[in-house]
Amino acid sequence: MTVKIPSLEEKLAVARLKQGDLDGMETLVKRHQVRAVSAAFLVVRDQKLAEDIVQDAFIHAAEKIDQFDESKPFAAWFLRSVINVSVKAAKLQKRFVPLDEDEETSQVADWLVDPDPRPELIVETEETRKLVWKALGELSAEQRSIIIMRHFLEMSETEMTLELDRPLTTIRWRLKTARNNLRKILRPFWNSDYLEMEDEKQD
Amino acid sequence: MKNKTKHTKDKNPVIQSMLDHLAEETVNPKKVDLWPAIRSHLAASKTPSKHKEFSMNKRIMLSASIAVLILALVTVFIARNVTTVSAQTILERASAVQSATMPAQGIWHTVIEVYDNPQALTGDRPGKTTINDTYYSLSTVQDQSALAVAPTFLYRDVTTDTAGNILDVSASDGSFNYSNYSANPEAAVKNDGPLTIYRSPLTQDDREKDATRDQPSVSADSLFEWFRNNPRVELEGKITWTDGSQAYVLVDRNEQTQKLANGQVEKTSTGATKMIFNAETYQLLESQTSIRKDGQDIVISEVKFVVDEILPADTHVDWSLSDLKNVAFVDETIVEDPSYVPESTVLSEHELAAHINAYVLKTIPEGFSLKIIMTPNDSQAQSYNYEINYENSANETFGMMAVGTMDPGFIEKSFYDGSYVTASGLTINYSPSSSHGTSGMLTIPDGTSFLLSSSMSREEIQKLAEDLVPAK
Repeated sequence: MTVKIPSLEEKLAVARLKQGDLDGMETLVKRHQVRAVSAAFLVVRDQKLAEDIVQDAFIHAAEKIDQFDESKPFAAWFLRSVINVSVKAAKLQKRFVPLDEDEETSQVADWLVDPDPRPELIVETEETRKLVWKALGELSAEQRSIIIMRHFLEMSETEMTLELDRPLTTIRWRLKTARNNLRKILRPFWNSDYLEMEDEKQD
Repeated sequence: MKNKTKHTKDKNPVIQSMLDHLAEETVNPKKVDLWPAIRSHLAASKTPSKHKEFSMNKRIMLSASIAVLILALVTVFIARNVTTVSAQTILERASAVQSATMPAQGIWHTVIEVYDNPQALTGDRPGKTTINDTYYSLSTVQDQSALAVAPTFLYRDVTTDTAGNILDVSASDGSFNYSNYSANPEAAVKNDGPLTIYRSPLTQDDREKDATRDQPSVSADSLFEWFRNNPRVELEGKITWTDGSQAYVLVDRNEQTQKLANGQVEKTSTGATKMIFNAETYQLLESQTSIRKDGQDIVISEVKFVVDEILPADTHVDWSLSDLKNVAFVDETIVEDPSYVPESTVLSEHELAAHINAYVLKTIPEGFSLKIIMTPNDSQAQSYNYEINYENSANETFGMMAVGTMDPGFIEKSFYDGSYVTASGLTINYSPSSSHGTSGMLTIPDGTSFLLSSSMSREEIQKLAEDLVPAK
């Protein structure tokens, strides 16, 4: 996803909205709704709730549009608010999502926070996706939001810091929680290159 | 030998791909269309009012109700001898009401019925209906010093499904809030049996928010904003309303324009938004949004303004939830949310030194400010994180976070991309470089480590590190 540079269409949409023209909002909604709902869904894990959150976030954005600097990307400003509300909603929603916590899931969750071995050495299969989905559910809402912001919305650390209102060091530390016990679990999913590297080390 | 195959944490294509696929498996882009509902809400109310943050879309109409009430109050000033008018005239006359002086005393009472069918389900009213019954003390609008006068703001929102089952309750009787959403994350979940409604005392903060939440002039401005600025709005006709009065129907028809292969342009109806006004008073009676799906018009949102009246200020408001069936009331006992992260505490350099051995810059660089914070590391706040952050207005940062003593070999293994030792014996082990700056681990002579993070280059960091001195 590329959201870093506001397009001319987006700038015009924001300008129109600031003048009270809701057609501007229509442009913004249609441009960002799918990404926003997807991001909210990955945090709250409930599509209907995700749509409610994004709908409310757009309404809130329309109300606060005068405070927005249209020279900056609308998406970053808007998606941060979506994530923020999603985290709060997920905390309340958490009790509705029973999780079968097990060691395997826990370790994948750790890997999501600090991907080691390197993600590109993991083979994406339906099975690994299921494992990742389950592991995401085990993370706290804040941790999940960091994963979503970093890897799904491709926010920079600075952008994430703005949203989370935490110093950069904290963000990095959370991302850097070192875990080394994943090999056993994900070994079946590593690709052959990585297995060969590992075998060479053993030799 | 160091592993030179670096990876940046900003580009993890496999995780990104998996997240993309996980989202796509559930969220079908072709079926996500929030605009009709958003437009409907924005047209009716610019400021959705929510008492409980997560009771989504329930208290959406307070602003609109206030605006509508204004309309009712001043319609006496509007010319009644109207026979034929345009859509624009109706809107201008209705919006002219906004400038009316509000009564200083009394209680606004509004009943608004909101129907939501965001998924455009077909059938006999398959969506959810919320009845919003609100009493709002006018004195608090005119005079903020009247905050002590109770009740300021009483309401009850009850959402039901098509069978009449209660789905959501959000209410306030002026002393207590009521909601089926518990503020306690450990509250038991019940999937069957009566709906639990949690009762919790209003805080002073709640009261202040209630008293200041919606300034009527703002709400009224927003009510017609969209229709007034929309050239597509037209007068559809005149109808007889449910009470026998005449009403105007304004409509904004939505079309999809498509350019055909032969160069011609084809327009297809995709739905419409209607606003219905009393033909004499110009009071807004209803707004409705529908979409066209499979040749059928389906109402996805409807707001009916059932009651709006001003009651004498001394009216006894007969507020109750006793008519609700199959609900159980529970007094809320707030307990600490285990996932809640308490606020950080700002420390002085001296206070930091009293907690841990740490280093600070001998001289704060020009243009930078220093902020030292202590953050609870667990919900019981038995351990803390300490952060020492320097930042300037250009968002240049230099930060250190105390992380204690690392396990043997951890630093060398995790921060393997070079190191630097200052004249005072501080060691920096670097992480692989990143486009976002420099990170590493700073270890002081007693073995304590600090996660180091900065927007600056290694050379700049090393220069600063030479200026680090023990905090006192």
